[in-house]
Amino acid sequence: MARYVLRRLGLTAITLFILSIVVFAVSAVLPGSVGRAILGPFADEASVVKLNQELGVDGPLISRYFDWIGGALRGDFGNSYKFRAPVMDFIPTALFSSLKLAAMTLIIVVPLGIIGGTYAALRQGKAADRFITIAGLSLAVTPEFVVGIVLILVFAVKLDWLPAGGSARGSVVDQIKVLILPALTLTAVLFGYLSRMARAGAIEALASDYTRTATLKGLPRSTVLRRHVLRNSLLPTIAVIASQMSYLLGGLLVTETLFNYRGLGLLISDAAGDRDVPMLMAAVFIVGALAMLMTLLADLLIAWLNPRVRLGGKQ
Amino acid sequence: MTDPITQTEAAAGSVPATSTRAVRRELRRQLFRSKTFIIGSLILLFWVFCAIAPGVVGTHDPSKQDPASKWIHPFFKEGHWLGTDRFGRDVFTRAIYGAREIMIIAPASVILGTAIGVVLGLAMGYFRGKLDDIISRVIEALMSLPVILVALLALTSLSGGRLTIILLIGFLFGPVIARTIRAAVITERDLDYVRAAELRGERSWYIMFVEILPNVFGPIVVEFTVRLGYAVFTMAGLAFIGFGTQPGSPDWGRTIFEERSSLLSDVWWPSLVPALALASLVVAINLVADAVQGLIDR
Amino acid sequence: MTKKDFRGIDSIRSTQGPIANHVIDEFVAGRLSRRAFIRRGTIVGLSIPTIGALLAACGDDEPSTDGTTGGTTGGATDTTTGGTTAPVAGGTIKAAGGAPSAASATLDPVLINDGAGLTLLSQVGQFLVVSQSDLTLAGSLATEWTPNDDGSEWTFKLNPAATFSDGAPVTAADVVASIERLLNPDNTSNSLSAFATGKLSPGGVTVVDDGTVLFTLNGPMGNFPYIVSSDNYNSVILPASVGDTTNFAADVISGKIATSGPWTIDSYDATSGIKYKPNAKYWGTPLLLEGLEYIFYSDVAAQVAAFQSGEVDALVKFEVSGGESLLDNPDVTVYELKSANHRQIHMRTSEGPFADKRIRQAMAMAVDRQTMIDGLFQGKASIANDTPFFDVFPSSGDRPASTYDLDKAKALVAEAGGGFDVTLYGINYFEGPDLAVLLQNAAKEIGINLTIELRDDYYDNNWVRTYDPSVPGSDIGITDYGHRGVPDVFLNAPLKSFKSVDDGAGVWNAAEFANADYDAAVDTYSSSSDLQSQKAAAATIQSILMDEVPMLIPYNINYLAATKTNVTGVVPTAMGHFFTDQASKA
Repeated sequence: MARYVLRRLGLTAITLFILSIVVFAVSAVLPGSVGRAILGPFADEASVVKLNQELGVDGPLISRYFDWIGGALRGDFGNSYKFRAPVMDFIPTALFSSLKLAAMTLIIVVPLGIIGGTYAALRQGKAADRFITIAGLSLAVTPEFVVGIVLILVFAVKLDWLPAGGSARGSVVDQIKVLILPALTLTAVLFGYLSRMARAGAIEALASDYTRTATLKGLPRSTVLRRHVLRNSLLPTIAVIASQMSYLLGGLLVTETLFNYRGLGLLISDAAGDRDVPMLMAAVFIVGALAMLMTLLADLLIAWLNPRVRLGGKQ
Repeated sequence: MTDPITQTEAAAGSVPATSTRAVRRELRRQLFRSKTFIIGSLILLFWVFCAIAPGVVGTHDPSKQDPASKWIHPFFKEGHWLGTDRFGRDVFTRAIYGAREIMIIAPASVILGTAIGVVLGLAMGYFRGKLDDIISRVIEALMSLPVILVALLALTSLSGGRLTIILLIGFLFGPVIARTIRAAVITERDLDYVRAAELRGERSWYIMFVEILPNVFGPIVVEFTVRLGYAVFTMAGLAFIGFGTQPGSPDWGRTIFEERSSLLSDVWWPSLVPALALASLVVAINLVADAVQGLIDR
Repeated sequence: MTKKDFRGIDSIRSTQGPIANHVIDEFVAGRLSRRAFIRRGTIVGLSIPTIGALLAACGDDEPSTDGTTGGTTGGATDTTTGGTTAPVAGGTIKAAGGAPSAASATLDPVLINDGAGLTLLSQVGQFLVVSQSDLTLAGSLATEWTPNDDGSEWTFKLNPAATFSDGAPVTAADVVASIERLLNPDNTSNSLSAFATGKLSPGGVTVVDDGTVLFTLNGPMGNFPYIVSSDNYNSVILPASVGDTTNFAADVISGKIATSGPWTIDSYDATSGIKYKPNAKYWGTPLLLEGLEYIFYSDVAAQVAAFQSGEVDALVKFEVSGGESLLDNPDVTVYELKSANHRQIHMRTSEGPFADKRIRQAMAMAVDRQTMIDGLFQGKASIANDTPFFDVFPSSGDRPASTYDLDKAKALVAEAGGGFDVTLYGINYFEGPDLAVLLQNAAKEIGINLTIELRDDYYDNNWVRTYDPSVPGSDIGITDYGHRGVPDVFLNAPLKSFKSVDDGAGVWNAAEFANADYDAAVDTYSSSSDLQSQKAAAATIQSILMDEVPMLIPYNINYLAATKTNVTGVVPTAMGHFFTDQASKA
């Protein structure tokens, strides 16, 4: 196990390095002059040239890369072109907001998905199973802004139970109120996929020899469910959650825009539009790194739960 | 927007190869008898027909604007049974015409993605070693970035037209598909017929494409059908950041995006009708994919 | 006008200079409408009481504007629906608006270049003069302004009561420092083009005494006071001791920079919003409100939803498309202002399929402007006739109407060689996409097939070739122009022949229109203070533009803002200012 962990850590480090190169390369080739993006289309050309010089947007790529990476390792990702302040003044807040929303979403969607998927597995082939599968699929496919607006219309405008958006600030209760609607929107997106995976795992467990033996031995259904089936539907679910982390942390642009929730998705999208390269590179890299970390943790968790993987079987 | 490859899926990628023609024929017969397959195919064929000949199904001109008829409720007026949008255009007709963009772009991008995925997967799975390690790391790095951000960055540099979307979705799905194919190839390569071919002195590309490829057809087909559903869904999401079709086009993603504020005025049909159309298409594709997968897993 | 009190008129005339007298004469002779007179009067520095007296002397009983001197606001706004409540003290208004652009992110007065930035700045900073919703000028930090005989020198008297938030009085030295900072080309201010139109160069602002400032222009400029008004939103007056404004917002919060407005900044997060608190040492009418807050939104639907569900009390600006639920709503007070906000659909005159003016004329005739306005804005816009002389400007001439005649348009196209395919570029926000579709439909009728290509980088690649001759520009494109109090900028930058980047003329000339007669007429218009020659020049300009049609300007969009009915006293302007110093919330 220890060797497995070390090996995975090493691989992750290499991948992080590759990620940094990719992020830097993409940002370096963004078209349009930074000065023009900041000053706007109606500013005169002399001003744009001057600003570009001030910001130092030219210069050999390799040295710029190493400057950036060197600073990054120390936690200094440079200054934002737009806000004229260190990038790290803005990213932690946005990241924390994204984490809060992700946590809220997972709190809702994971139990729902596991219960839904397991239930569908127990009723496999019957109406309930079909319904859960199709409902999940239809919701997953509906664009976030549709689900979101419908939720806002019903709960914020018509019923006035919840706010239509905003940032998560203030008391715990206030924050939860703000987070519920966007979290429900994301739940609609993720539920279908999560429940499908849980269902697949549960079906496999129900059909396995272990379950049959346990039932034959006279163990009550609920114990069998708890010990074996649920545990088996947990494994693919963990894998799914890990694979969705990059989406949950940095890919929520649409939901964040709709609910005016200042997370990393909005930060990155604004930075791209403003050609705020330092902000863009730092935020994208952090999202990628965190997603990789989550995948690593999930892999380790799965390995720990599933002896077959740990002992190096077919992967 | 979700990207569904997982550890478990990759691990379960090993699929039994079907060998004789008779077995294949039997499977096909069973396919045509499964309810899920029939329902899914019917819906799919309906949309394909709409993409080819929308004029036959549609009742109005999808681009004719008529400000006087703005926001007519569904079932309220003769001839506009699903109502009109904010420019007085018939919602039903636009939903029918909107099928075309998606039916062109989605399959094209998935074909591209599958092609990339197959080539990469075969190479990685057969050669293993350094090549596999490096490409795997790069793929992992790329996949740690959210789809929509990659799309956003692409949009800043390239035009948002059809070709860009096809390339973008193709290149985004390629690595994902590659991982599944790789897993399947790894299972195959230790089998006897591969060993025999190597001993015969056959070249690598021959072994990969002529010997192994036919035997991993199962997972390829499954991946293709699954990805097709996700391509459709991704396209709608990309419309939000300005990708894709130009204003005025009845493309579903575009329409849903343009009409989303109408919901706040209690006008739900211009955005929900195309959303329903989108959902029905993806559900249909998934039903077909499920039926095919169910049979292959047998 | 009935009986005129000529003696009264004469006694007023004797106190004024030649330019003001000219305006008075025009009005008395009946060649100037009442509205135009009031406006012209405030431009040339006639005080409100003087104007009132003149109106009375001409037998006019109606009150003039409700403008007040001192303080930042004035002027009536048109309000529809909703009741009003008596002003009440206390309360905080929460307003929704867009986030400031990259240039405006620190609220640096030198660089601010967008609606969000100017709205936020004008809460704390003040101008010499305020351009009101009816486009008349009212004094703010200045009380009086007078031109010399030909309008090439303007003297402004400052309000002796005006002070900054640290108690120091606003003096001429402060004005000189603030304006010179903007004029300095090294500071690359957004206002450089406005000052170029105003013919003011570095060194042109001087102290006469503590309470008097002199502006010496490069030439006569009849509308100069607009250039130091709230229309030129960078021109807030700051203490002379202020050196660097790069971190303006932070410096105001810390007290390093003192400002003169009714509010000061309590906290500011460039990504999410700003909180204001009352300026304890404000020199004008005390605020009724105790707090003001702006929350930044990037999406229209989110803003409207927040307003509907009560998270915000006011929308600084909203569009009809997406905001339909707010119109005709008894809980909402909608403010609708005529504005000079417009779209220019340029057609390249130097080369390409639109080089033949018959094609351009055909395009102008193929567009049904009224239907466009009804479809895009539910009628909340004015028809424009492809020239910068808009409805909202009390015009200096008659405005010929554009014709909608499909048959004639088709004939012109046939004459000029038939239809063709071309790509339409433009902005992909606001109503750009919808307008593009309407244009596409209209052009199709006359045989021109437009392929729509709206992109984020329109301004970089497909607009003007002024800054980078290697970019393609576009044969036809949609550009958005915001509001101004006078048409001078619109006559200048997009339409005059382009000479060089340093000269303001033609820098935004996407149509590559180069007409010597036009240039001459514009020069006459801008420099004349003689209203008759201004009118004649305007007429010439309009006839040239309607014959050559380098661009379509189909409409001016009315500016819309909204508040809940329990909020009263806010004064939005078509520029995007949202004055709250007399606002209250029940």
